[in-house]
Amino acid sequence: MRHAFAILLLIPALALAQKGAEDKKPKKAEDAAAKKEDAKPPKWTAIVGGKVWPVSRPPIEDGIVLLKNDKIFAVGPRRELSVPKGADVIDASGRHVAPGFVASAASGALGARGTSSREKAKDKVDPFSDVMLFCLAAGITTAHEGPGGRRGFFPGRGGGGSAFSGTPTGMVGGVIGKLTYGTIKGFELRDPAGVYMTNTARGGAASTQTDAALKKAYEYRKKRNAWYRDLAAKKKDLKEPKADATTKALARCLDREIPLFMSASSQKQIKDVLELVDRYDAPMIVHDGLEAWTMAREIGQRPVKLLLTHRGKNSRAGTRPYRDPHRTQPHGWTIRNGALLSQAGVRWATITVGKGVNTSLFPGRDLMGLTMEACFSVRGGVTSTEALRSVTLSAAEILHVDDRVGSLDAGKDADVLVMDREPLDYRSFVDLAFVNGRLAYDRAKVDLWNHIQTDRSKGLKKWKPWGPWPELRATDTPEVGNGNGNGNGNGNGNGNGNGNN
Amino acid sequence: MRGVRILIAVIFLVGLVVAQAKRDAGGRFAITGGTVFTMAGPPITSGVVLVKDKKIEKVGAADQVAVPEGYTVIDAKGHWVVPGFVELHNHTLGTDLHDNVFQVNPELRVLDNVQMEGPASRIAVAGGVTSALIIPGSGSNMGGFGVIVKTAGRHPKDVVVKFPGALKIAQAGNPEQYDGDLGHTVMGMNWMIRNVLSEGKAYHEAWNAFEKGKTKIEPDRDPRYEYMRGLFRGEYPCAVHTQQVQVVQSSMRILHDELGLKMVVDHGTFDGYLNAPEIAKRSIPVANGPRQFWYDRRQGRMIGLTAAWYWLGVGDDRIGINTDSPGVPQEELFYQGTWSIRMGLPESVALRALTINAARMLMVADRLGSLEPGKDADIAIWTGDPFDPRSRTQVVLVSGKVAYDADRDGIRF
Repeated sequence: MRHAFAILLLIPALALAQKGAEDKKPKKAEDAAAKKEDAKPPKWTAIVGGKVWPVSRPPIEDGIVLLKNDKIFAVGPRRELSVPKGADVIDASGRHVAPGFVASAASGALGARGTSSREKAKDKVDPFSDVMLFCLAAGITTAHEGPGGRRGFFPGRGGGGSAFSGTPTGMVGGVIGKLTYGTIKGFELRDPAGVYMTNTARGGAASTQTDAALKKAYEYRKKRNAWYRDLAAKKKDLKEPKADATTKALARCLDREIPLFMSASSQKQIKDVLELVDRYDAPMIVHDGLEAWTMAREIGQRPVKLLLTHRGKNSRAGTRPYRDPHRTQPHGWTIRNGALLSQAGVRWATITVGKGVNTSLFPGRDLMGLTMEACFSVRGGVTSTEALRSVTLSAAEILHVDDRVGSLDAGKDADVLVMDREPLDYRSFVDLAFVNGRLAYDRAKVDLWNHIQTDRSKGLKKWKPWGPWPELRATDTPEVGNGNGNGNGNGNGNGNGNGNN
Repeated sequence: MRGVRILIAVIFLVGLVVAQAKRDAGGRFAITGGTVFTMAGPPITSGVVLVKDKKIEKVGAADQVAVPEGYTVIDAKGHWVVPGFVELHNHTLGTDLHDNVFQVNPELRVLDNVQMEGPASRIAVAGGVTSALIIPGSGSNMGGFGVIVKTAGRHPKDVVVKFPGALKIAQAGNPEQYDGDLGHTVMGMNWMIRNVLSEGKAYHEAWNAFEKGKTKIEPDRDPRYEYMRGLFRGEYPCAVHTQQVQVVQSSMRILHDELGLKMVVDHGTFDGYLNAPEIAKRSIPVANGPRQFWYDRRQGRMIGLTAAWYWLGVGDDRIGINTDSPGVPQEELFYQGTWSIRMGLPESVALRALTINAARMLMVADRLGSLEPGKDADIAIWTGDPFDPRSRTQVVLVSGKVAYDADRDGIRF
């Protein structure tokens, strides 16, 4: 059994290694494919006239976002750009255009109930999941799912499980993927996403194990680097240093090739993390960071970034004392967490309190309130610009996917939202969500939120309180992205579940 | 020598009394420059609110209300000046939740558990909440009598606004945890409620008859039913934990139709809103929360619950919103409003729901809920739209005192 487990662990490590190798390979095959694509006339989509929020630069009034196939081709003011002939033109005047949001810690947004090193995300993702639809409707087009394991997401019941289980010695897993509702084509950004480690409140055994694992990786990396040098020097009788898959993956974390995620919430846990960072020169992405503000300066001096909650961890925050009377040092939760960390130069992204989607409990603490969660940081002194960045570009940067997503810039993936109000307005709804240039969600056509009007005083439209009789909707079957060459990567009329109502 | 001592003691005592009186009198403040949402008329841009002796003295436009001498000016330029929010359903400002030995507990009261200026109330003030109804939890069928309190104040007489504030009744969706006797099912619970309230009514009527001289026989005093007399006089409502379509129906049938009691639909969540037309016919108010939306699987639609109640007929004056703190933290009452607006409630209605409507439901609108002369000076100065999570309070006055000042206190929420 143990052997089987080791082999299973090896698979993602191999995948990682292979992926690394692929990066270095000359991309002949891809180039050829690209040429073939070029032979077909490109699919142009022009989103015209809205206020554009590229995030990487200041907003553009009356702008154009031009999509070519699955990529952003150009972004700029209307007077500087022209719309190619034959382009699908979407009138966004009076509306707002933003990059798709990045949920930097999620559970279930891809429809999978947690992914571990034992499964490939590709096999678990459910592109027809309601949860994916709800997340898209909230503007999330990219999600990072940790190895949730058995506490993974269960739709509609509670807030979803922990997005970051991990183990004290490190667990290779997780996935960063797109919410390509209705198809899995192009959903994968990185699988596995990285290595996950946990750290208990008491430190002790877990810290010792964590320390031992990192030490092993550190030593292995030294030997491996020496081996590389010897290989380069063409020395003879060389033996490749041996290590288990997790150690190899951790060594790649130390190489700064893949991220190392570490959950740490309390002062003590964060102190432990910083010590490990120093000891092994290990860059880390800390998940949660509830008390991080108490050590903002120390964090700022190290290669540590945060996936940050701005409010208390659970919904019982009202009963949680701001201060623990038994402690005298600064501690506990504060809404100023993000602001104090920013002051110290720490990079962080906003995560929600609940990592899943919650349709029956208390509102505004799950993925459907991601932008509003970011707004809470503004109460503590962060600027609105930075708050928006924390669910787009900052999140993409921290997850190492900013070459693909996070802002409206030419060359990035065409993940674009058209919203009826400003991205951070609590009343704003996503009218259209493009993922990889394909219309994955159209509010008007999905009976989820299309009864709510931009002007709330006009009442609810198209809504019958008792609802219709249940009906079978045979025409609803969404397409499945099986790469059958029907151009569904570019199509925009057949993307959503209830499109033909 | 003795005379001198007495004199010193007298002077000291007089000093104490004067100091106490001065403290009791509260400060005099003039809040200037902000947009004032009085809840008793249209908003006043660049309005002035004068506060004197714990009460609101005057409210008006800057050119109509002059700032008298001796008033501390609080500059609210560019800010929103809003009545302090009134929470309709709180469990965290006291120390108990519910006594689970018996299913019906009309003799219990929250009054003795009020924790003055505890950590929860301080952060509630920072969230713009200045008063709240503390009620027993829903673990028993009839939890006992709640109390309406201010979230700041260091003397019971400053803190307690009204006792009894409401009778907590919980109909389904929690009290079923009680086991081993009658009242384990909804049927059993409903019988117990009707039974105990009928007894209370009989008690009230017997005393009424005696007091009006209709009978010479003095009934026995029964502390179990004492607070029910006010209930049957209509002095305070039943705050009814009731949700789902059939349970709301039974609340309406038993409490309103059968027993003629004042009631508030508290929670009202899931598909409870389907009763809105009937509830509206009876002028019963609804305090929706903490769930602000519900996924209706019949139509695959996310229903904003406060909006549904509102648009199906409950209307401007009888719609309220609660947190069920700690269900949602007390300081996040505004955020419940945020989600109700997001899900379809007009902004102006949400503001009414958290202020004047809540005060009316709790029958304390003579003191709370709007910025009008003579009412308690419970005022929150927000940096912007209170429902935008990016806005926060700058200064909050509770009973005419600065209970929170973001700059002074350093802490933010």
